[in-house]
Amino acid sequence: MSEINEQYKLKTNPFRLTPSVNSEELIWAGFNEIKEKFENRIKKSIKIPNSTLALNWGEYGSGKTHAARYFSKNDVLLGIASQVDKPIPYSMLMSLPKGREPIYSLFISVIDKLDIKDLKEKFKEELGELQTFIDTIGSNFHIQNVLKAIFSDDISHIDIKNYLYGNMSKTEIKGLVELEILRSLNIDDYTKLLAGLFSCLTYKNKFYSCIILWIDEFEDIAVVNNSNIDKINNFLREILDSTPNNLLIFLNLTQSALVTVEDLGQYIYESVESRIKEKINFDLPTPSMFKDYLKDLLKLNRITDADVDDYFPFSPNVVDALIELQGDVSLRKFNESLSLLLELSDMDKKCPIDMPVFENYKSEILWNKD
Amino acid sequence: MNNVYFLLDACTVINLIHLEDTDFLLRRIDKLSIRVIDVVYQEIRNNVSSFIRTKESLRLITRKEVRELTLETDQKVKFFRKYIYESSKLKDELGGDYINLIKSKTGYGKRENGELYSVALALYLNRNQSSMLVFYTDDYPAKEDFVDFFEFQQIGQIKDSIDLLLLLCSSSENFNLQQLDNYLSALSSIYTIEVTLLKGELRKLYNRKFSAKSLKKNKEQFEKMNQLIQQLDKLEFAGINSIKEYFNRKKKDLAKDINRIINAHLLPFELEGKEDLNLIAKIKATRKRLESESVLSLLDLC
Repeated sequence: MSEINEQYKLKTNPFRLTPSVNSEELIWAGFNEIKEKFENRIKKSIKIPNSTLALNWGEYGSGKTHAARYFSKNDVLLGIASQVDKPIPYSMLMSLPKGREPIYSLFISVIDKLDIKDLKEKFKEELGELQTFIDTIGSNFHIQNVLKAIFSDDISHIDIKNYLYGNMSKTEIKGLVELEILRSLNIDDYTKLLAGLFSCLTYKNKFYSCIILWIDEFEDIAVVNNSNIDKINNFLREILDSTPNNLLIFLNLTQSALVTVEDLGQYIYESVESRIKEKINFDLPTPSMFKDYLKDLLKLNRITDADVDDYFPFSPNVVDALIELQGDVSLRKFNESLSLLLELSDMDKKCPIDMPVFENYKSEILWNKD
Repeated sequence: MNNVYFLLDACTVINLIHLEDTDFLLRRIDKLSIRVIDVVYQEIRNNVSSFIRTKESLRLITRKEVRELTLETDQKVKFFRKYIYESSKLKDELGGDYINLIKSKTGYGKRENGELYSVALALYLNRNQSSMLVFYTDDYPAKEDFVDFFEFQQIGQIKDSIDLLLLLCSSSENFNLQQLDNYLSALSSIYTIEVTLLKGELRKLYNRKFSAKSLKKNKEQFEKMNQLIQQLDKLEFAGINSIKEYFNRKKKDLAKDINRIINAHLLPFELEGKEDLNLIAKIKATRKRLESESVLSLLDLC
């Protein structure tokens, strides 16, 4: 994209096939209704002390992972939290594990993202109260002692992380006797420990107002065996039951021949399904949704002081023609076509992209249309 | 007919090994007259750990689980040693050209492999011992290669792991329908995970490589890759082996990366059957049927 700045008045080619992993590049364009649904859901979970399960579903490339990454951004979460005058939620994004021990994998994903050094520092002044609170979490002394060790200064952040990962030898664990940690963690501990950890992180809403857990690729529940389906269901039920306040779990489900939203009942138990309080549908966009998205996306990527029409470098009739020719497609497919159109016209230095230019590239843009 | 022999192909044995952490199924198949030709046994040894390696490379299992699984798997492979039939015995009995005869009679054009040797053994046992043969393979393209020969020569039947599980359930005590469903679910999982991984890897490559310039250069390869992704998404496997062969012939540019991905996930290519009949669809249909229809035991007949 040699002359994209001067000719096209854009900072970069804005049409991505996959969402950026770079937080600064993650922007939200169009789809205000969906955006509002997420904002409201998160606001509710910040304000009302309960734990909720929400299901986001749509085709591949409809924007679910983008939504997860966008609504995990610090500035976005801060903005939402400030509207209800509460601290930021603690957000984590992970994929549904397909391995032999999915709950262990989920636990490890949470620990990977946990900045224990920062937590110890943050909760320093509250430690006494927090420890008293931990004593009220469940009835498992071992779990309570591990939770205390995460927040206290009695053990370094490196040592406790090693312990949580299960990397400590038996001899090293013997060294934790003063913390009353007398054994390593086992498979029955992970959910209880996560529930306790989430309760601690949101204690008195001092630093975090709620926990948001995004489980991406939830459709993989259709490829795991009965035993793991059981484990995943039990995990969801237990974590929601044991974290009665301030937990919001989003499940992202991509529909395919393996699983559709209607089939979900075959894989998630009634006891979990009944806890789904909201379903956010990423349906295939309508022409007006595409147009609003495009206008917004171009605006957000404009170089400063560019005085051009909304769809520039595309002529409005090109946008209409493309949408009509493509028919029902995902947002990803729409982006792919626009990216191709932009790149091809850039190669031949044809800007703006009007109908004659579009006609010239039409067959190349619609190369894989059925 | 004096006897029924159960011949197992490598994919069926590998599936049996990976279906469970225990030896429940192995103890039950031990009651059948099992035969495994040595060529198949070698294929089992060569390929049994690829399932573990794939999962390890994708971090689906921990290092500790890899060690446990490898040990467990080695023990289970050794269990099948007692069923080995040496192919040299076939050559001693029937001459060195016997395998070529089978190749020519079946019109088999691919390289010599376990399936071909199993068919050769099946025909020999059938004719020499007046035995019926049931050959279990989950490789549907291989099944298509030999099913007509099996039927015309009245050797017996070619079946798959689903049939074997149904047989074990119907003929074994303490094998209930819930266990059967669990095994079918685990069998489905072995294949659908591979389909999902293959589709996911191809999509990642597509997204990474897609641009106007690369599309202009490799349009046909993008079309084929897109077709393969769409078919995997729809669980439609008809023709996917011809796409695999297409990339195998190309070798350069995009094809190089695609071949690397395909070669790491070969299992989905065993799913291509006639008229979209495939193992995943059959498992789904069988599980559905089991919801309303039981596998009858002797007690059910009273």
